[in-house]
Amino acid sequence: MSLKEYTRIDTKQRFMDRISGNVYPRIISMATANPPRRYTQLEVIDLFGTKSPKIRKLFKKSHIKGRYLYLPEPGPDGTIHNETNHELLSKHLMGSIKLGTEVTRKCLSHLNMEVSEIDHIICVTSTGLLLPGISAHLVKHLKLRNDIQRTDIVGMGCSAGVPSLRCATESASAGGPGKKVLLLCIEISSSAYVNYETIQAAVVNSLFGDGATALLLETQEAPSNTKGPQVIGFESRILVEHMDMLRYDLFENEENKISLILSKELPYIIGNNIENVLYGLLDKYGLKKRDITHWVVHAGGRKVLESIKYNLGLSNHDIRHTMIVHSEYGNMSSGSVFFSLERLKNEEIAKKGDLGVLISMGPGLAIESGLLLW
Amino acid sequence: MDLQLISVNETDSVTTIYLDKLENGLINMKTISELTDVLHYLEDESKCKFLVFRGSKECFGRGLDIAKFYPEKIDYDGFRKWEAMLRTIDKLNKITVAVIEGECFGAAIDLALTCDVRIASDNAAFSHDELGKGILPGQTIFQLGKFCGLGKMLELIQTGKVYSAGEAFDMGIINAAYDASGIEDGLTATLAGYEANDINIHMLTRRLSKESYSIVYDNFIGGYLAAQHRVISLPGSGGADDADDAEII
Repeated sequence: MSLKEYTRIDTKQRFMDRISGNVYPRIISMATANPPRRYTQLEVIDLFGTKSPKIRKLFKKSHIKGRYLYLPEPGPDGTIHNETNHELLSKHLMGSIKLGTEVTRKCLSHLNMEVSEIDHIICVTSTGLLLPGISAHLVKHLKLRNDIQRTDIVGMGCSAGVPSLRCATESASAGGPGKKVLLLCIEISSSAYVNYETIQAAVVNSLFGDGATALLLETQEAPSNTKGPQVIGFESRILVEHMDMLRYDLFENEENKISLILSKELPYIIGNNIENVLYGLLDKYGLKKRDITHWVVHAGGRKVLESIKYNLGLSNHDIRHTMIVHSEYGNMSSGSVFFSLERLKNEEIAKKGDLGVLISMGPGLAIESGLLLW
Repeated sequence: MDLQLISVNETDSVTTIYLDKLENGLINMKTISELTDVLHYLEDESKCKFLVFRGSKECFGRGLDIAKFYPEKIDYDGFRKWEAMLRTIDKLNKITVAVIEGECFGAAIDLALTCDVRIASDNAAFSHDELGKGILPGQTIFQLGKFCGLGKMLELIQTGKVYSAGEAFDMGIINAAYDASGIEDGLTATLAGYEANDINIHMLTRRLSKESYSIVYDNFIGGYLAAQHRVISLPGSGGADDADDAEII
């Protein structure tokens, strides 16, 4: 096509015209929570009693300044003991209930809502296996209605934030106006730690943090004063040929603990494939990348973020919230992307009509994206 | 596309934007809008490799017509739109060249500095005249010192002194200066020098080079490795992955 044949199209206006009159679920409130204790990287490695210079260097080189963690009290020698499988599972349950309860109350308090108003609770975790799942425990501890709809999403790892939002969106949409869906991402990453002096274990121990997020969604038929974004749609890819790059496995030598296995190729495989996902999402709605004002990305790790930046042509400013979440909290798996979203909300910069893209990535190998409209 | 203040010539490999219909050589909001539209076309639709900016023989551009940013009062958003347009050039999937003849004042230098390459004829005259108009330069403050150093940048911006193509070349602000009759051959030679470049590699080189002025090596290395992996992964590029293993993700 030559310039003479080219007709300027305002793709964002065309999109707005197309969706005009449609009703989409809206994120009407959100909140985050972390354990009370925050540790610097040096504090963590000293608590583990790590002597290996290579592992100490890995922690010191990290771009993460600190993380909130549930770690045991240190012994007389200043180090923590190697937690047993039972202790790790108990910690996951305890942390999930504490953070899940706190973050739910905080989320509802923004709107002066009661827990009895929640119609559907969706709980996401990949850092521990519970039966019954977290949702049942939270019904008990929060005194939610006993006829509440419940969904537990387990095993989607870091990518789970965006697809779980899709589930919440579909539920809110299917339930019609007024149905309130609470999406909780609760990750007690410290219950998936193994305290061995291997690079593999050290990478996990140096990267992941504990945290929880709550998003409350509702479809509002009438124009609303609520400032939260509407959830427009999603696009995802699963690259099963790279399934082994990110997975839980039994740790090789002791106690049959599960441990996260990460391939060093992972950031680059994500980088090579992220354009397909993003442009799939944008094409679905006839949008261009320049129509997107806000970028909210899962804080997977520094190399993942660099790979996304350089493959999508994003700047540090574009992913500023994600960079800060990564630096200040570490990777909190499924909830990380919503920590970044909350920072964007608190910045109070998003205007009515702005478009934003959510991106998360994780085991599968999965790359997930979602489109938000303020 | 109906263009009133700029004109465009397209060949298979080179698109030239002429700033030859500006009122008094000044860039107003409509100019910015037309430039932005053409850049979006180039980004989305055009297969050409080069984008060349030219003025007339006597004037490349005399800066922003801030009095016309808005009929009644200055539209401060105009400065944002100008910078956004320059940012689009900076991220454009083309090799960008400014061919400067005659006067090149104020924001016209912003435009030239944003391009990958600047060549000028010996009749070119440069001046950062923004302070005399009571405004601040934008992109020029961000870029000029990287070419000529902080001391010289401050002198040029704070005095608004006029300097020649030869002086601009000596200070590293332009890549080449030609006598007026040699500018076309100079442009041809310039384009030939970049002809072999893969556009993705060219763009990433541009980005990493500019970022090198603002980040420490520990932050540069991650971006470099990501970019390197991207270019090597392109079909036909070949090569081995040399990622370090100190920080896996």
